[in-house]
Amino acid sequence: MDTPIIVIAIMGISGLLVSLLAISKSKVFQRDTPFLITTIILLAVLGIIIFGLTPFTDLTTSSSLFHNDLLASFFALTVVLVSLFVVVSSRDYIRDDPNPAIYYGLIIFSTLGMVLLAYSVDLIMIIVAWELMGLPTYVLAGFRKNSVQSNEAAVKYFILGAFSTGILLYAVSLIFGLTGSTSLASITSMFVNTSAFGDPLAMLALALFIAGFGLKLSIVPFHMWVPDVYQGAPTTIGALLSAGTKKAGFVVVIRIFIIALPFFSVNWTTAFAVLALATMTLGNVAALTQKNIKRLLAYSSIAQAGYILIGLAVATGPVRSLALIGVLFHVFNHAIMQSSAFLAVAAVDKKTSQTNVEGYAGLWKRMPITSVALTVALLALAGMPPLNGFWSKLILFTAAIQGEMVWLAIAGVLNSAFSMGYYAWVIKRMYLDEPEDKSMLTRIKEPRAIATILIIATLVILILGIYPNPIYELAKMTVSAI
Amino acid sequence: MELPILSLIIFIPIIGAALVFLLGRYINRAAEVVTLIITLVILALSIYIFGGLYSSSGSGAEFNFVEGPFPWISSFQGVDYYLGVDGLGAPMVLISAFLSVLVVLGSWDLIDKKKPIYYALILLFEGAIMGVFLSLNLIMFYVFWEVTLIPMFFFIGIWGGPRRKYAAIKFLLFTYVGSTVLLLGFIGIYLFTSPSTFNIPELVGQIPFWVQVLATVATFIGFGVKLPMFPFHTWLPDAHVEAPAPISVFLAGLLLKMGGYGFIRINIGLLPEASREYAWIFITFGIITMFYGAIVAMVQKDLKRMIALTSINHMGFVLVGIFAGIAATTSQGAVFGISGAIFQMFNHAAAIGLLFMLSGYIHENTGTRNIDELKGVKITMPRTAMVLVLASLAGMGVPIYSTFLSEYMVFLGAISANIWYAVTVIIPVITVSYFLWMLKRTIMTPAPEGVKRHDLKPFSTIILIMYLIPLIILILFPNLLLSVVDPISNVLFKAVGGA
Repeated sequence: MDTPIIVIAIMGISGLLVSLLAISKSKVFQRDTPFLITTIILLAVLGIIIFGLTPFTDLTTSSSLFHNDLLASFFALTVVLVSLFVVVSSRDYIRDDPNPAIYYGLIIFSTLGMVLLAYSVDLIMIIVAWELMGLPTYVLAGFRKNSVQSNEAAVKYFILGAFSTGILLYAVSLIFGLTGSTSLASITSMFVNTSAFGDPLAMLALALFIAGFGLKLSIVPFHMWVPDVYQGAPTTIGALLSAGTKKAGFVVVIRIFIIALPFFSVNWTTAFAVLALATMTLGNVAALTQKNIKRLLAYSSIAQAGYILIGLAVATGPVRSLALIGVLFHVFNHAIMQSSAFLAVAAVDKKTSQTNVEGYAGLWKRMPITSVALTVALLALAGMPPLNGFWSKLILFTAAIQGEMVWLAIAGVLNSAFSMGYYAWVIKRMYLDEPEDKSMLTRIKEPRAIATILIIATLVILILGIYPNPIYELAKMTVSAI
Repeated sequence: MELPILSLIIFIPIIGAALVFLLGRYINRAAEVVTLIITLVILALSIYIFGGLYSSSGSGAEFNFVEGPFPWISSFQGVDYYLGVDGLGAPMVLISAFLSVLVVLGSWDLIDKKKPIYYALILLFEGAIMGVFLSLNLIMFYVFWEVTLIPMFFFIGIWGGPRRKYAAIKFLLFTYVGSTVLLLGFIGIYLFTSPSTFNIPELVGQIPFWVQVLATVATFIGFGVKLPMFPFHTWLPDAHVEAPAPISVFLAGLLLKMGGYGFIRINIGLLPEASREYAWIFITFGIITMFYGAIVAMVQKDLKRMIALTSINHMGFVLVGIFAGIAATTSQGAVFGISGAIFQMFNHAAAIGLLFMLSGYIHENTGTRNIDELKGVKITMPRTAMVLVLASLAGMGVPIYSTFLSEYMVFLGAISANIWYAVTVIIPVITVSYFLWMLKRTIMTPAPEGVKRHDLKPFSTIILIMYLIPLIILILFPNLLLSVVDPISNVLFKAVGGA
């Protein structure tokens, strides 16, 4: 089944159609129809991807720009799931905002970009998909055009995003100059044949790739924009950015570094290890001092990128298989945990306009479902068993020790213990603290769509924590097919 | 097919927790009653297991009622679902089930807010702690180990005293940091042992010495925080003082036992050579812990804080017993040390549980736990005075209770390892002195004029006295427990080439 081409057709057309509904005057056509169409389209795409994983179909594609393999399906599955969560939650979250049709249209386009990114194996296609993923999110970040913070987020994100694309293009041009090709497969064979080992231009290209991807993957020192953008953007878009677009970035890193350029690994594994250490440490330390929950989650998301980098740092050595399983597993888990946490924050934001952790006092009496979901998500992010985050971290740390980067594993474990400091702080606010204003204790109606998504995400976190076998096996199959 | 009894012991409470929460929201008092029934069922199953080990002599040396290993993550080798119980696990399971019943009964009187969620958490905690004592796979062990933290965090944080938030966060962070270090040690054991596995029975005798040393560093911190061992003990007095009385019983009676159990199961069982080599370090810390707990307890004004420090003091005995046993020169000494430590854990759970529960009732009835304000308990609260005296005798280790016997065994073990460890004999003197001083101030001093207090209700008195039953039975018939425990001590000692 030619998944990428089918997905382009479906999502491209529906994205345009949904955006067109914005010209209608009726509330139903402006708001509810786009929501319904988007949900159905995303469910259909999810179905197509899952159908591709079943033994009834062959994974093929007619285009040389794409590679329809398990790796692509795994990432596509993850990002479409996140988009679906975000879209369903948006029904409550942007209910009162103008131009909902445009909002849903842009999400479809961005999701299409993420999905295509997962399938792309040609540098030009990667750049195109990268931009298709990025451009709609710049607009979405500034979707609340009357809010100063939202505007700031959009501008900041756009400038750095454009910068990152520029850097990537420069890296692509260097690689093209060295090899005469943009297809990853022929790049690999060209490098093997010409022994470009130690070529300064190739090194420059590698460095530029790391910087370009690092900007979107929020790797220290390219992380500066993350807290401001996550804070300023609508909260659902924060979920899309941290759980969706960021995770899609990792598939490109795997395709370019692990699959296409492994013989440069001497040069980049150390870089990844150092970046992993810096990213998780800085993310966790900075998160500890945050007062705004969206900023806190932003820094936590930076730290989580650091854990994933641990896996990438040891992914070329003898533990390649285990490390990559850890990476894929943690990408999936983090997508679920992070979107759950962000959407819980969105629910609170919508109902109480509170985004400060201070304002979460006594939340469990007001919004019990949201509080439980947020608690479970935060504990999973901290790596508490029996939740899914524990297993992927266990595999990542095991891979690091076996890959002879024991210091990295120790740093990861200490970081993980340290991160409990701020996760527990939020939990303490919700359950143990009483608000000064006693009227803040009456139960309020929780937004229904978000609550549904939160329950589903919480169940996924719990079930995968108790029985991680399905995703582990899928990740293992994916890795052995690379 | 045989009934999977061990799985039932773990999962009936965990599934029951959900049931209790839902029932409790709609039916008044349903939470209390259903929880009591579930804990009674678990107690019956535990007695059945203990009886099984007792009736076939020598079976304490190996794992019984084994379930598994069934693969948990099928292609992650060594992560299995694997349960079993031996002479070390059985007493722990029995005392956990016993205390759970008493805790539920005590909570009927002392807990009056948010009952459904409280009883649900009680059952979740019981299931998790059973999981710790029954798991034969390090990862399963770790998972249950961590699951106990969440209920305890909420117990202290929601139902606790005035400084409960501070105590809850401190408890969570201390123990969480300790356990992540522990996990690192487990991963090290897994990777550097062939075949790579987390299954405890398959790891016995397979771990190279240098890995044992590294893992011992991790367990020193991981189990040391839980036990608690000086200098990692500072979370404990805060947690105890703030926790409600029934939860203090769980905390001191069961949660601390996880540390002692871990030291025996992992350090003595899997890392015997390293444990023998560095036993003196553990014993030194154990002795410091004993003295620290005893001396600091003397100057406490808060009755509950005094009991908490007594608990630290008693857990020092456990640590000394375990490592004196492994370092002993004769198998007699080893059995005294290790069996003594297990015996001490069992007795301590009952004795300290009673003291904590009683302090909760005293606080409930008089509004204070300050020893100096509790004058004249004998006149104003005669039943309380009687229970307080009986409980204090258990805390002191007076020979009408088996606490005496277990402390005595630990001394014998320690002395047979090294004559200098005889210094520990001073500890009971200190313990007795501060308990007697406390009794003098509360019971023997006349009450101020015109003080009226509520005494214990007869029902509560009976519940409190029930804690003493195992202590009295076991001083009369210590073999009930020791015949199950001794075989495992022998096996553990023989593993290091002891005679």
